[in-house]
Amino acid sequence: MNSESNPHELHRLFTAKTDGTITPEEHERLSALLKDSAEVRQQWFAFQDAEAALLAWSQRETLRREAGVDLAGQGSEQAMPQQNRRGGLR
Amino acid sequence: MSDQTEPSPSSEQFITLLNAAHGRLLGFLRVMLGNNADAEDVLQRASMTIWRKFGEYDASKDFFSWASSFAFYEAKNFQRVAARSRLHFDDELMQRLAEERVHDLDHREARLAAMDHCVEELQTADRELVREFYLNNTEVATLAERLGRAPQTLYNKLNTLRRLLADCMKRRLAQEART
Repeated sequence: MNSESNPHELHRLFTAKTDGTITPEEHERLSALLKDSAEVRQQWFAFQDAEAALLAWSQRETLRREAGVDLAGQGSEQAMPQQNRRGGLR
Repeated sequence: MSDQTEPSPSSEQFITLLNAAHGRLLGFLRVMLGNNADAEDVLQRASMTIWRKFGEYDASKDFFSWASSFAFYEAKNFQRVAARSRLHFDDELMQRLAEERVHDLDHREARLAAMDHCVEELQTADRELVREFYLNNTEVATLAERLGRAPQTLYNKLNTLRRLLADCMKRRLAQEART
C-alpha cells in the first residue's frame, strides 16, 4: 500500500469516515495513513475540530434566527446533540 | 417532607467541572470515533462512570486529564460492541490518537474561532446549505430531494464547501501564528 497521500484523498477519506459512508477498503487505507504519519493525525484532529465548529455554528445560527438573540461566540456544542448522518451517498 | 433532593456540594462541583470540560472531552472522543453522534453517545456513558468515580478525584489535579482516561476506556468498550457491525479504528490506533489528541486539544479553541470567521465568508446560499446539512441531521438524499437537486451533485458541492472551509481555517491559523 502506498503510504503517501494527497490532500484531496485525505479529505475524501475524512468526510467518508465522518459521514458513515466509508467502505472497508477506504477504512483500511485511512487507518494505515493515520498510523503511519503524525502529520496525517494532526490533519485528522483539525478536520474533526472543523466539523465540530460547523455543527456548533449551525446550531447557534438557527437559535439566533428563531429566538432573535445573538449567541455569536458562545460555544454551544452541548446545546443540541446531533445524530450521525448515516446512509449518505456512495 | 419534600420529595426533592437538593444537589450536594460534590454534585454541584461535578456538574461545573463536567460542563467546563465538555467541549474538550467531546473533541477528544471525536478523533477516535470519527463522528459527533458516537462521541456524544460515549461521553454520556462515560459521564456516568466519571460521576461514580468522582469521590476518588483529587481536586488539585486537572479534571480533564482525570476524566479523559474514563472516556478513553468507554470509547474502547463502545468500539468493541460496534465492531460487530461497523468499521472502527483498532486499539493501537485509538491509543495513539488519544495520546496525541490530549496535547493537540490546546489548538482546538483557535480552530473553532477561525472556522466561525470562515463560515461567515461564504456566500449566503452556500452558508444556508452548510447550516441545513449540519443542523438537521438530514441525509443528503433527503436534502437533495427537498432542494430539487441531484443527490451526488449536492454531496459533491457540500464536500467542496467543507474543503474550502478547512483550507480557510488552516490559512487563518497560519496567519495568526505569524502575527
